This record gives sequence, structure tokens and C-alpha cells, in this order.
Amino acid sequence: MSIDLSKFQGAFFEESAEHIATMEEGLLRLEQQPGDLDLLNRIFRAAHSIKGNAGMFGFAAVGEFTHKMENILDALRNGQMEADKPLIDLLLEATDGVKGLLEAARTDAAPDEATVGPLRARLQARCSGSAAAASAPSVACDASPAREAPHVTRETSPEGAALCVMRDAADEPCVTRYTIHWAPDPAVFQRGIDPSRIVRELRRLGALTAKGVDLDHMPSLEELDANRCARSWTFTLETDHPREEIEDVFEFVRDTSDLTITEDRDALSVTSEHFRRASKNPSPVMGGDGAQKPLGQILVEEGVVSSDALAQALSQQKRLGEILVEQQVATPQQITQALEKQQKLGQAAQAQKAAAAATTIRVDTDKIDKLINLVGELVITQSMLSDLGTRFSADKLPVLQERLAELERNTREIQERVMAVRMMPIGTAFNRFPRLVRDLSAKNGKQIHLVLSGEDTELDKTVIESIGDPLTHLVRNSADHGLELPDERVAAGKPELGTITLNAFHEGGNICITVADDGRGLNREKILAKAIAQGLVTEADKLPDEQIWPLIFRPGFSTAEKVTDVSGRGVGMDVVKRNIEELGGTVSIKTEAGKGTTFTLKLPLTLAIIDGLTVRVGLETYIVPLLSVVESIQPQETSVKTVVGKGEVVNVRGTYHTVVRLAEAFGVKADATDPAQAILVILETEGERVAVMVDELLGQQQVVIKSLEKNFQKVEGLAGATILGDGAVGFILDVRGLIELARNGAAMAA
Amino acid sequence: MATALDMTATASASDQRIGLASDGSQYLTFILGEEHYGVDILRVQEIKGYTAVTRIPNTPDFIKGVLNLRGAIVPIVDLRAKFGMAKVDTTMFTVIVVVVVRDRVMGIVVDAVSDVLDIAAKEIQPAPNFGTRVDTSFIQSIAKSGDKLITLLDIDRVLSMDEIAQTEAAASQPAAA
Repeated sequence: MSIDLSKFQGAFFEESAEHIATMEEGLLRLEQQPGDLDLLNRIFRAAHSIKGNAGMFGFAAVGEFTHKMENILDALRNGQMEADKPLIDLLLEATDGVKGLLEAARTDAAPDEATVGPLRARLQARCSGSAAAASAPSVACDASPAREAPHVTRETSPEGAALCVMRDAADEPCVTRYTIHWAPDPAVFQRGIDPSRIVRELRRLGALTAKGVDLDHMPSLEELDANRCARSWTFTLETDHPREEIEDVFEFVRDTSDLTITEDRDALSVTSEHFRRASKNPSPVMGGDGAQKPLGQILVEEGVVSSDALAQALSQQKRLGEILVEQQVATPQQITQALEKQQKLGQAAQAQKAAAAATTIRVDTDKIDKLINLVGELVITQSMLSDLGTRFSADKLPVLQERLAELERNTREIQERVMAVRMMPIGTAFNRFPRLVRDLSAKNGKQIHLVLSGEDTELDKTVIESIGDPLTHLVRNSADHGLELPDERVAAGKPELGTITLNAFHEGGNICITVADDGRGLNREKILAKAIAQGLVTEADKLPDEQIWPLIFRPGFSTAEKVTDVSGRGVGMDVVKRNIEELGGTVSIKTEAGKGTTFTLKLPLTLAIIDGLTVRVGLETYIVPLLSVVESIQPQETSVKTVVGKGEVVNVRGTYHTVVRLAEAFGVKADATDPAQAILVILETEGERVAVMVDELLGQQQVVIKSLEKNFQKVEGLAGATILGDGAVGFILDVRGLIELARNGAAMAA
Repeated sequence: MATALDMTATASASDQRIGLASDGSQYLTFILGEEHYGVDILRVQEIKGYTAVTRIPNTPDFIKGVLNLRGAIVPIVDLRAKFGMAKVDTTMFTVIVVVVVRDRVMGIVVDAVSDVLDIAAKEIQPAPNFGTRVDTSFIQSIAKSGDKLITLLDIDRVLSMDEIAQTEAAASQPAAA
């Protein structure tokens, strides 16, 4: 029964990430609705799943840590604790802890004890603290998380959650004794369930003792049917696992059998020392984790040596390097070098692992089913076509055309569906913000209400992954700079509670994401003053608002009076803009003093396919991204003027645009040298326009972007390549690059 | 593709026949004008007949253009132009040898492919020194096979991207001035 679990590890980490998201979301909502049992159950289930799966994959640290969270969640569920803010804070931090541990487990790194250690201690303190009532809540908090020799077990009061046998320092789990009575359904064998497996499962949870086998219902020998189970059992189980896990063991037989699990209240006499012995001397079947204890610890526990003596002995232990140096086999330098090398190797291996994380995508089965249907249709069309091809005659031409039309429809639909597979709701990118906003509001003393809408809007997975950081930055920016402190807000006649709204919606072939706040708005004077100070503009420039706002996207530009650890260092907004532009999108700002600021991100739906306008220059075919095309004109002879030293410009309804002769820029031979014989395509990007001269417009089509850099390199003026209808390669023009080319060309001429 | 596969198959068969010693390797040889050249067979992905390519704007002469190779965009280098030989029209023997250069797939246009040869190490000599008159940096070595002299190319150097970029910069310099 050896299954290679490593194959499923990816799935485990992915699933755990989802569970963590569920927990986080649940905890945030729990803060609003404390005592919501459904919510608590959901959080508990998520934690429980992580714990269970982590155990299965052998990530003991994750399992153990989550178990501590579970204890608290359990206490919350039983009403022994209240979900107040400090507790929610702690639990949220703990989810971060689990996240960190999972990441460490994924990359095979050592977990970050500096963060996890204290967290673990605090969780433990909280768990035991509630049991021991408020009288001594900080006992465990003070203790160092390091394992020491056990102190005397402190018995807790019988009331309260007295089942926690608490001891400080060593993070001892709470041991409970359960009495389990199980009378399986007589038909249990026929259902393929082997009771002995259930017993084995129970043994795994802790020290299991069979109290007795009930043979009262045993039929007489002649009536005995070997296929029917007539026995029932009573066990006692001492375990630190919660009751749910015991119930889980009986998952499949619970409904049909007579099962009672009672917590043994008299079991308070069971000291953890007792339990320790039980788990230390595991019975062969039980396994247990005793084997993993260091020798020293066992010796201390058995009372063979004192912990002081152990510590002393351990301090005398030398490391390999020191021994080698002492024996003069190696010089200290060599050892240091080797150690550095070891460290580097470790880091490299870790980085590699982190990078190698396979990206997977979860797809709605519905989408796949539709795809399969379409492929079925495609196969049918193909077979009809090949049938037609084998005995084709001229009179069958209309049939052929019909079939080809069908093929085209099929192909288009499949293409759309395949693209849809990569589409994910943007909610996955929005999910992180409730937590972020909560943390921010706690940090900067502002009251912030976060409104999310349009979470179901779908866009390409790559785009979703890449907008996470820019969005985070914008939200932080709104919370830190946009919104005012509560008293300022009241003074301005606004409600204390500031609002940040995240919205996503489709607009044409684009997706728009807005981050809006109802804060103070951008300060025109401040930005202008800063820009003048930095020499970006002069006072003489009378800039309209639309040109002032984009100044904040300049690198190193910040008007914040104080730099917080959140923002204000002037790095960020330029990164936001750059990231969005790398995705082929744009950022725009709308702001009104005292009313708030709205950032609008406009992004293409997908990165792989664009709508293109195919144009011809001489013998070459190029594709212009349709998004950048403003219009195409056939200029009159008089409208194209040569400006000395500045090349050609064209007058379009009173505005002059630079003319780029594509043929000249790319060194090909064009049909027309006179602009009046050619066509000018007006392209726009980032507010700049350029008129590109081509011979002919061929049509509009969707093109799949292929990388030119993969096998070659970046070529100025080209955004990429694609395969045209005839199988030849066509180039996609880079509008930004063309504008640069035009500019350089002008400079060259000058 | 089939051609390439067949060749590898025959090559490995002859391998076994003559019990090729470990000190030799196999080379795909081709012809440019009157000269014979060879590239390490392991670097050759496939051989395909010449088809028209799409010219890339603003690139040096020897970059003939790009080709659609089953959906991948593959740049094609004209070895004649690269070696400063006279241009010739394509014939029915003109082929594109698709090679893998540092994870990139590229094609080279040659007049004709001739053979796959096992060349023993003792037949291989270092490239002669022509001084500064001839750039020999991309010549790996010279080999003798029968009465033919074969120039074995260091394909990584022939198709080095750095060099292409440099040539390009050099080419655009006078234009900018």
C-alpha cells in the first residue's frame, strides 16, 4: 500500500492555500458576527482539513501548529471563549503562521521559528489560559518555548474546560480520556468495512485499551452466520486529538451503528506524565511519535540525567568543522569556505524549489464538458470534409463551402472556450483585501469600510496573478494617503467611516478595475510644488489637471509629509504604472478635492490573443493592435506637410500628427511614396498619437501573439509575431516603439 | 522531420557496424559553394526544405527572417551572407538546417546537405591561424574525410546572439550619425 504521496503534494499546497483563504475570510466575518456557529464550523473545518492533510503528508510542524489553532476554535465553538478582537488578531496571525509553515514545507526550508515560536506559545497560552480561567492567564506566555524538563503537572479546576491538563514550558497537548462504545450494524461486513481497521485507526490517535467485548448478542452456534457481526466493543482512548478526529474514524459506520463517545471526566487523574509514558513506549502497532524524540529528552524524562546536566553535555558537543580544525585536517578558512558554500547551495536549492512551483488552474467541469462537445463536433466536421474530399466533383462545391463554414464556426467556438479555460473570476485577486484593509485600519487608526463588487468578472489567470501587487499598492495608497483620520473626516462633514471601493467590470474588449476612496483627493498644489521642486515642470507651464495627476506615477514622486512603513517613499506608483503597462493596460486617475480619488485600471482580457488590423506595406504584412487604432484616413495632398528638420506631419481636423513611413522605418519597399496615394493609420498610446503610413488595409482578424524573443531577440518597433492565415509569419507592431522610432527619426533628421 | 529521423537512424546503425570509438563524433555535413562544413549532429533538430521567410526589419543582412515552424517563430540565418559569400538563388537542394543553440531554435540556410559522417578524433585538427585576415572564432576545427576538407563549425558561436546584437548596433551606427 505504498503510494507516492509526493505526487499529490502540489494539490495539498493548493488546497491548503484555499483553506487558509477560507479561514481568513471566516475570521474577518466572525469579528462582525461573533458567535455565528456556521461560520465557526467552517473555519474549524478548514483548519481541520489542513491539519489532517499535513499529517498525511508528514508535515508535522504544520499539523501540530494547526492543532493548537483548532483547540482555540474548539473552545470558541463550545462557548468557552469569546471571539473578541485580540483573539481574532491572534488567530489571523496564526493563519499567517500556518501559511509560513506551509511555504517552508513546500520549499523544504526550515520554518521561521522566530515568528512561529512565539505564536505557538501564545496559542498555547490562550488555550490553556481559558481553561485555567483568568486567574493565571499568562503562565505559559512567560515560559520560553524551548523544551525543558517537565514541571509538576498542575491540575486545573474541575469546572471550565478542565480537560486541558496544563503544564507550562513544554507545549504539552491536552490529553483527554474517552470511553467509546461501538456496536456495529450486523451487516457491517457486507458493506465492506473491516472493524479491525477502525480499531487500528483509533490506536493511531492515542493509547487505546479495550475494556471488553460484548458477546451478549452472540447467537448460538447453529444460528451463527459468519457474514454477520454480532459483537460490540467498549474502549478507552487517551488522546490529545480532539473529539472530531475520533468521530472521523467512525465516519463510514456512524449512521448504521450504535456509537457513543463519552469524555471521561474522572480521567483528570491521568497526568500527562502518564500519557507521555504511554506514547514513549509505543506498542508495536501504535507507532507513535516517540521514536523521533532526541535521546537527551528521553533521558531527562526518565530521570536518568537532569536537564542541567544534559545542557552541559550538549554544550561540550563539537561541530564537525571544529573537530577537523583541531585535528589539523583542515584550516579554519577552508572550513569557513565550505560552510559558505553549503549555505549558498542550500539557498540556491531553495530558490529553485520556490521557482519550480507548478502553476495549475482549476477549471469548472462545465467548461471542460462544453469543450469536449465542441471537439466532438470538430471531429465530425473533419470526417465529413475528408469524405467529401475523397470523391469531390465540381458540383459539390456548395457543400464544401457549407462544411468549411461549419469548420470555421467550430474552430472559433473552440478557441473561445479554450480561452475561457484560462479565465478566472477576479474575486481571487480581491480576496486578500479585507484582511489587508483590516490590518491597515488597525495600524493607522482610520476607520475603513471596504466594498467589493464585480468579483465574478472573469479574466485571464496570468493577468489576475500580475495585478495582485499593483492593486495592493493602490489600496494601501488609498488607505494611507487618500482617507483622512476620523476627526478630520468629521470636521470635513463626512462620516467617520471611510470607504474604499474595489470594482471590476467589462468594457468593450477590456476589463476595468477601479480602486476608489472617499478621502481628501489629490492635492493639486502639493503635486505641482513637488513637480516644480523636482524640475519636472516649471511654474510657467499652465498644466491642465489631466496632465498634473499622472505626475504621481513618476519614479521617486511622493507628496506624503510623513513616510510610513506602508507608503510614502515615492516608490510604488511608478511600479504600479509600469506593471499595468507591461500587461498592455493603462491607469487613469479621477480625483476631486475633498471628495476622493478613483484609480481606473484598464486591462486587456487576455494576453495571448489580440484583435488586429492587418496592413500591407509593399510585399510585407503587419498587424496593428486594434486597441490602439484611432482611425484610418486617406490624406489629401495638401494635408501632409514637411516641417523642416521635423519630418512630416499630417493635419487631421486641425491637429497635427507625426507621420511614420513604415516602409522607411523598416527598410522595405512600398508601393506608394506619396502620402496621398497611401493610407495613414492614426495610432494612439498613452495619450500620444502617430500617423503610420501603409499601402493598404487588409482587414481585421484575431491573432495569437507569439514571442519573437524566445528564439530571437527583441526587435525595435515590433511587439511580437503571429502566424497569418497562409502559414507565414506576420509581425505585430509595437505602437510605443513606433512613436520612439518617429521621435528618433526626427532627432536624426535634426 | 522524417529526413532528420532517418539520418539519425542510419547514423546509429553505422555506429554499431564500425564500432565507433569514443574519441570521435558524428557530424552533419553540408555544402556552401565549393566548401564543405560540418555541425555536431546532436545539435541538429531537423532538416527542412527551403520555404520563403518573413524578413525582420532593421536586422543585419545575414538574418534572413523568421519562419513558422509548427507554431514556433524560428529565426533563419543565411550562412552565405554570414560568411561573406556571394548570394545565390535557391535551388531544389537549398535546405534549412534547424539547430538548437543555447535553448533557442534557429535555422541556417545552406546550399545542400551532403552526409552524416563519423569523424575520428585523429582526423580532426585545430583551426589554422589566418591571422586577422579571416575570422576563425566560429571554426571549431578542420577535419579530413577522404579527399575532402571539412570545416567543423562551433554552432554556438556562429549563431551567437551577442554577435547579432553587436552587428546590428554597428549597422545602425552609421545610419544614426
